[in-house]
Amino acid sequence: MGRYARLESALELGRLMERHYAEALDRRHLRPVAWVNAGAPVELLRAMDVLAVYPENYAAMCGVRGALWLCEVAEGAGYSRDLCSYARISLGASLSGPSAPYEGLGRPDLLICCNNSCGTIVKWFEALGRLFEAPLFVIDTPYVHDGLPGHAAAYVAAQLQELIHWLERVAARRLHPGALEEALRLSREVTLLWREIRSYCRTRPSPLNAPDLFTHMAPIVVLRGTAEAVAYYRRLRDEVRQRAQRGVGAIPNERYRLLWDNIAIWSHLSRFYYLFAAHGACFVTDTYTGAWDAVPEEGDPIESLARVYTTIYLNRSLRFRLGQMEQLMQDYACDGFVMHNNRSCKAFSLGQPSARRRLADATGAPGLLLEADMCDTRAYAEGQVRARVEAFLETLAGRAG
Amino acid sequence: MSASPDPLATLRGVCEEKLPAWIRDAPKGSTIGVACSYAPLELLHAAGLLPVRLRCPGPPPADSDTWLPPFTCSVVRGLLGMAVDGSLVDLAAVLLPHTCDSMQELAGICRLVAPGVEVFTFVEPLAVESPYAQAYLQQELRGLADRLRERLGRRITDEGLRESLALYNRIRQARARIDGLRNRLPALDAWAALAAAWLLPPEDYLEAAEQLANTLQDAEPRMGDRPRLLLAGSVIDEPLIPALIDELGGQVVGDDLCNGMRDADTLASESGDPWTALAVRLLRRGACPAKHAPSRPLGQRLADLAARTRAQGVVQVMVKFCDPHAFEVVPATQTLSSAGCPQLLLEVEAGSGRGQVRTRLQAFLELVSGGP
Ligand code: SF4
Ligand code: SF4
Repeated sequence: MGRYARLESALELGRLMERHYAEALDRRHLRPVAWVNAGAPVELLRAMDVLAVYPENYAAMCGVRGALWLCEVAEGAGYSRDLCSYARISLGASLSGPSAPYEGLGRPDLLICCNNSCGTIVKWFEALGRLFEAPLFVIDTPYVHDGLPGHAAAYVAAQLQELIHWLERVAARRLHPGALEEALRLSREVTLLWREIRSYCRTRPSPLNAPDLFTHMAPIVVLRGTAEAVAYYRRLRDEVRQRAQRGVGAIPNERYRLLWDNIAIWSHLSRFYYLFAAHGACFVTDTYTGAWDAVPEEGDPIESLARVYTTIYLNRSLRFRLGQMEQLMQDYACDGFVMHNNRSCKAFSLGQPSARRRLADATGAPGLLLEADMCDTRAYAEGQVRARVEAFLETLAGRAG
Repeated sequence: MSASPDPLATLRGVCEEKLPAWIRDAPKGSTIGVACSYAPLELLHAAGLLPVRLRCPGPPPADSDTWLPPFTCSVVRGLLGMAVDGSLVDLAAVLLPHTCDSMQELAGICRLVAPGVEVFTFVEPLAVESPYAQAYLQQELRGLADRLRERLGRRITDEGLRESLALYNRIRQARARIDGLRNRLPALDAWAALAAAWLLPPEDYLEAAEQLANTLQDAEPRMGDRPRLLLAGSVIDEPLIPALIDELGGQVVGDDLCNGMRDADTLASESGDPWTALAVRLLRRGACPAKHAPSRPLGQRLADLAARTRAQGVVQVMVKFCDPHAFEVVPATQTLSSAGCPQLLLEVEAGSGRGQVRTRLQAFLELVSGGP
């Protein structure tokens, strides 16, 4: 196989993330540090000059480096091996201080989390709150089984107002006039850029493969609502657009186009996806990096935040998610799909066995359901994974004739 | 159903059935299965429905493995298994409240793979102490009432709801009486007498439970100085653990179980607006670990209960793959340790074998009673 085409923007991405994490550790600045989850309405924090730091992103970075020992530290402290490995890594790292990867994540002054991804995140943040004796604010975003009911949107909006008062009280912050609108404007812009970048993967060959998407999604998570993120994604957009225009594919000899469902297998990011790339199989779209696709509407900023954060992908019914996957398969002309049945994440994974059949029936495309874990390498059975991937690729080859 | 001459036989009998037999004889369309103690039973009852808790003692039906990953708790596997193997055909509907991530997913999976089952969802607040939770929950209760009307033709009046609140208050009081008289009952009988509250039609349960409590009141304490244990955890659907405690010479002096006493200490107000009363009860009741209730941590509740019941040890029963409990057990264990209370963590699944559980319980009973 030829060389895997690296994006030039990767260098800039590295610098951006380094700066972000250095800031989290550097306690000389006066801004309070809030540890937040990926689905927290960070625009409010930007507008109130609170530094947002993401334990989930940190856990994923540790997962890439190998973080089994951190899982074991958490298990030693009583946390079951069956719990989400992000949570175990984060708790293990918090218990390990500066000996954790990247010298650890420092300490939070505040904790803010939102259960729009799962209930696990709340229990995890409660544990962080106890560990650091830091105050925790939980935003309760009711799960959306059908449409978003008005009383649910009102409930979330009321809590966001309360969060503002809480930050005023607990962190002596003020909501600067116009600052929330500005953060929302930047969020909107960055989300649209990310959407545009992902959409170039409709071209054949696709300019990006899943590992590119997984790596380059970091700023949309940790720097959403900032000018730096906008500048970064403009640059990435230009590069990806250029690839698409020039017919440069992410992998050489793209033969099969696949959809990826669930969180990345961070611990095997290059090795696992290489199994596919080596056979010309490219993941052209996915449900994970698309979870940051919702654009905050214009209008009342609090109401807009309430709506957008309550209706994110993981907070919606299985039927809705299935519909999204079907649409993606169609839009990106996928020949098949791979579902990572991720032991860590019940919210993402419990419905996959039933969704797999439905999706295969609806699209006529084959699907592989693969049990593994995003970071805990004990749940990744190398030989079995390889055998199942190869069998799946043979099915694809058979269909392609 | 009329009261049995032996109320205990009635209460124990219903715990032995996978799905209570009375459901088959109940008027068609009148029964609704519920999956969790956060189901608003009073509202369902006021709609003319007979709520019954769905549980699946024994290994989950094999069908559930087709539709669920192996890392799913046996509660959810059991429920889905029953939904797909046709066990729930006699129920008008199933209500899945919002507790944990697994339960939330179960609703979507049921709708996909068991379309014959009428699924109602009910998304009660996670942040039960939020100042805005009550207003939201009241609207959510109204929304559920609207859906029951639209889909099952059931109407709820304020008066009807008030009567149901009173009925379930009496049930909670009867449960509390039995709970207070445990020293006259083997652990297995006490477990069954309390768990049956979720399995019998409410009027029938009340009659049997009051009758039992009256009989017990007149009886002599009989558990003597057997080692005193507290049972805690998510749910105990099978008699295995209480039966082993009896067999090994222990006694259970209190519980914090989802199908035991966890929700029983909070009664609903019987005056004023019944919708408000129901919402307030649901928010104030003993919080399940799946909720965010910072001022009422499980560990403190267990330590208080242990002190009040003079328990010598706490058995925390963990259903494997139950994330909320697996998280909560860590601080709870710390709190209990600081209070000097010995504890045993038992991880179980429905249908799990008795050998290991027996050995560990035996060792623990020896420990709390000061050696073999
Ligand atoms: S359970 Fe899933 S959604 Fe929740 S924190 Fe873990 S990986 Fe994220
Ligand atoms: S046992 Fe735990 S994981 Fe299973 S349904 Fe109950 S709360 Fe959820």
